[in-house]
Amino acid sequence: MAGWITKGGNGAQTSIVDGKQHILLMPAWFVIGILLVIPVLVMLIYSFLTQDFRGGVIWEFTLEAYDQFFIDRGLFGDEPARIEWTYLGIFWRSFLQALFAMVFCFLIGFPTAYFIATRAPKSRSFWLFLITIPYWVNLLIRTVSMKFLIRDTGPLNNWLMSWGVIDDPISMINTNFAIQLGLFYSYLPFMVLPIYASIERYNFALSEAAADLYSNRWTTLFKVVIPAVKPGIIAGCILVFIPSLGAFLAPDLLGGAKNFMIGSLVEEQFKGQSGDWPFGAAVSMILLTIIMIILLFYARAQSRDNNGGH
Amino acid sequence: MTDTHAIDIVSVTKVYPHRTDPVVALDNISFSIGDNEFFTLLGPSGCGKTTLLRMIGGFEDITKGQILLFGDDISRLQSNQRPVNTVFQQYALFPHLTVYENVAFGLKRLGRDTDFIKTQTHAMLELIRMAEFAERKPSQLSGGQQQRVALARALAPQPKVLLLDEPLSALDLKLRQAMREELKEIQKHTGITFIFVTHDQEEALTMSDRIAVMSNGQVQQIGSPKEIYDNPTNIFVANFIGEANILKAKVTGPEKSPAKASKAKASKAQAVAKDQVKLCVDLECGIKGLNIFSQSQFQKGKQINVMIRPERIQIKPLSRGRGKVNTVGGTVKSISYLGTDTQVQLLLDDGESLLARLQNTIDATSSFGVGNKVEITIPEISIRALSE
Repeated sequence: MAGWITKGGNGAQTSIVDGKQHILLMPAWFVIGILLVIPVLVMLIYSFLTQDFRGGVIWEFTLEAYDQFFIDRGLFGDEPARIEWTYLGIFWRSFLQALFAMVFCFLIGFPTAYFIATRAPKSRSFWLFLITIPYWVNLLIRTVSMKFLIRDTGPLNNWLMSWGVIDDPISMINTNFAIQLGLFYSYLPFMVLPIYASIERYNFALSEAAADLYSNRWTTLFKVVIPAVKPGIIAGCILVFIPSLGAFLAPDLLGGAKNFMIGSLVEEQFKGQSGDWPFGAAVSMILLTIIMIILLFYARAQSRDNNGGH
Repeated sequence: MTDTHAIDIVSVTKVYPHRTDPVVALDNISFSIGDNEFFTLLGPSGCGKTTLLRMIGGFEDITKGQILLFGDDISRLQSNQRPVNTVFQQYALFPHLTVYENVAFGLKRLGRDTDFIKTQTHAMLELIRMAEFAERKPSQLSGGQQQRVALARALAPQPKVLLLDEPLSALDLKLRQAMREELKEIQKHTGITFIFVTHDQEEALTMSDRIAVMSNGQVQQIGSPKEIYDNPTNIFVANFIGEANILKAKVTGPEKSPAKASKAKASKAQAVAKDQVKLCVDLECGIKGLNIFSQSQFQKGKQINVMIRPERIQIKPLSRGRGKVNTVGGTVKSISYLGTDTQVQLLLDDGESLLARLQNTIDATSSFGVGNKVEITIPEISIRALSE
């Protein structure tokens, strides 16, 4: 972009500073403004409005939605206020699910990324291509397919039974295992790709230096390789954890009603006549706040790392 | 230097397999490196010197042959099981660790006790004069400082042999010269055998006890810097180390009994090259009946190459007179002033060209210019016969 601007002639760079070419920044402002700031603001405002029972909102400001999330006043709202555990429980379960999905994606994704990054440069793109092929298919279709694969009469159970591993089908649908499988399959490339990018830039002379200084493979991995590619690992973890936290397709289709996650909870509020838009908006805002806090901690840890050694 | 060998390279061959044309990086090499020696592997890029060093360090498999460390076969050991350490070309310092942690890394992996690690690491940081930088990260150091940390890190576990893979190539000239001194001093101080890889002949000549000149996967010559410079065995070594004039000559027989006047000179030259034979040759440019040194015996009548260093050639303005021994006529083709020296391109009367270097001493006068006819004296004790 910079090269394109300077082609405009002498002093093109200064004219950006004096504001004549703000027009060039318009696409960026458009993306940030229309697609990011405004929707979040709408959501924020809706979370403070009153629920309309036919869906939609009434323009009366209230804290009702947040009250419903955090405080339990009994079925008729006349009991003493207690902490409402229902939604916090859903958050907690979603958290654990996302955490496990992140860990599994890392355990499989890191060796995969390492494998690809250590192939000959020519064959790397082939392996990356293989990783991304399933993602040409829509997420919904992939998740539904997963459901067919693991159902009681599906190929997985048939296969296990025909080999005599099990006698009766294992019911995997509507379990946490199914949700994990769905999340793992949905977000694995988000773990593999950033780690791959880090390992590709990694200086393998460092591994040789570690071996030279009496490290075995494991100490080399933990003391040298992982610290050196940490930014890629953290990026991968964030990219898996955050969408997993808000995911609703996998929990909805594979987890069933009793394994409710945040995504399904929000979806429920905006679906059909029985929805509660302010409450859905409030749940979203609470989730957003939690994620922002996590990212802030990460950013602070990162900057402390970079200024290290003093 | 003692008789103990730190390293024995025994018929080592390295072949990089390839479907159509496998590459032979090292071709059946054998030699020994003494304890306490500063030994240099010198050669152009692609000669196999780095491959050999990496094989000693355990980073490359050996296709055939053995490598012994103080008599023990280490060929099949992993690099983390070999008591040798390496200073890598681009230093390869751990970027996430401080200088102190980098230097202590090897000792920690060896499981030394905490007190020892502390004293040894601090001693190493003192040795390279970097004690006040202990808490810095490598990215906060200059190239020369990183170089010294890499050295300290490799020395800290007290290896039996230290391998250095072109460690000075990334530094600028002044720093490189200073580091040469420092490396040599540290080698003497620690008494560890250093195996140093470089393509820089000046570096090799100034630091090494012995040098192995390599090319095309083979060792061309092993010897002290003086031996290699004064008595190169073949054209490759003669050309790679310093500058050389290669002239054609014909062997006329074994040594002719020397004239009385040159007997004293001849015996002095004998001391320089003990294990050499003397040949009588005629140079193609017209000088006849020279007694020159050779490392191998040649048959009478054989065409051979002889070498003379540019600085050993004497040039005088054309004069009439007697006693013109070993002298031919020629023309000055060009003169380049190089500071300490003046380089003179000469065209001999028979059409051969010759390079001469004259030192710009206080009484040096340029008594000739381009195009002048001059007398060129080639002293026979400086001529060496080269093998094929």
